[in-house]
Amino acid sequence: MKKLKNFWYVYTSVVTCVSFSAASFIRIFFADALLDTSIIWQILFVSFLCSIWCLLYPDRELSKKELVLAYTGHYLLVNLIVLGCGLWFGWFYADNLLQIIGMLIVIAFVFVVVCITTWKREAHEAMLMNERLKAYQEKKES
Amino acid sequence: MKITILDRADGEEDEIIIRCRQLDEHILKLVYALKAGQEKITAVRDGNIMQIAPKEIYYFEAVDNRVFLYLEKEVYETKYRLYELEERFRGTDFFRISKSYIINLAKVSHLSPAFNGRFEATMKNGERLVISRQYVPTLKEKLGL
Repeated sequence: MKKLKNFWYVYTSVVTCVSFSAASFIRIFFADALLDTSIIWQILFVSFLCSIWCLLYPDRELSKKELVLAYTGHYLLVNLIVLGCGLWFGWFYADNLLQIIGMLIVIAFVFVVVCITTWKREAHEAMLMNERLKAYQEKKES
Repeated sequence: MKITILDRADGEEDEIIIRCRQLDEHILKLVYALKAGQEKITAVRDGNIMQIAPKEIYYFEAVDNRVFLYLEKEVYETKYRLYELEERFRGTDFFRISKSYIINLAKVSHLSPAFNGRFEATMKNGERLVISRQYVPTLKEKLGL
């Protein structure tokens, strides 16, 4: 259940960031284009494919090295998924280097923002836990 | 719950009697806390056997079938297994945070996030220990979150 809740949090964060990035990408590279409404479903689908991997993080304790490897693997996979699906859906042209670089920047931006929001969420949890810990210790001492 | 404290005669041992209809979780926690607070842990260091009060202990660590207990600066070895210590200190300040560690919550300075649902406990002596993801919900529950 905790994993599903975490997945949902990551998924909604990814959808938000991708929507914002897609709007910027379209504004920069296809300012005058008329877009099909299917792009909304495409964004939801690609965001799902990118987020689902957080369900596959192992339950066992990962060492720092394994965690770095897992995050790197996830990042590379996200690049493959977005670039692959992007080509398939016609989000960019394979022979346009500027658009490819734009896509890579967008992917990095979304990945970093989602990591930061997840971190912030855990930092907020830690803050609450610290407040309770302090109260717990004061109660024990009195 | 009614609490009565009686004066004892000289020469008599201090005694706590709990009169209840049923041993519920609250009373059991009380019993564990009383027992754990009184009983010292036997530990060895440089061939010397010591009795250590639980309140002095920062954390226990299991390494290769051996269990060590850490005070502010010193390290001792104890014959107890980690699961035995977990059982013995159930309902007290001691809390299992991973496969290899039990920490004393009274000796935790603060908690911080450590990626992927894990947290890190910084002890009052500056040492840092990782709290596994699977133990985080129990810790939150213990802290009343």
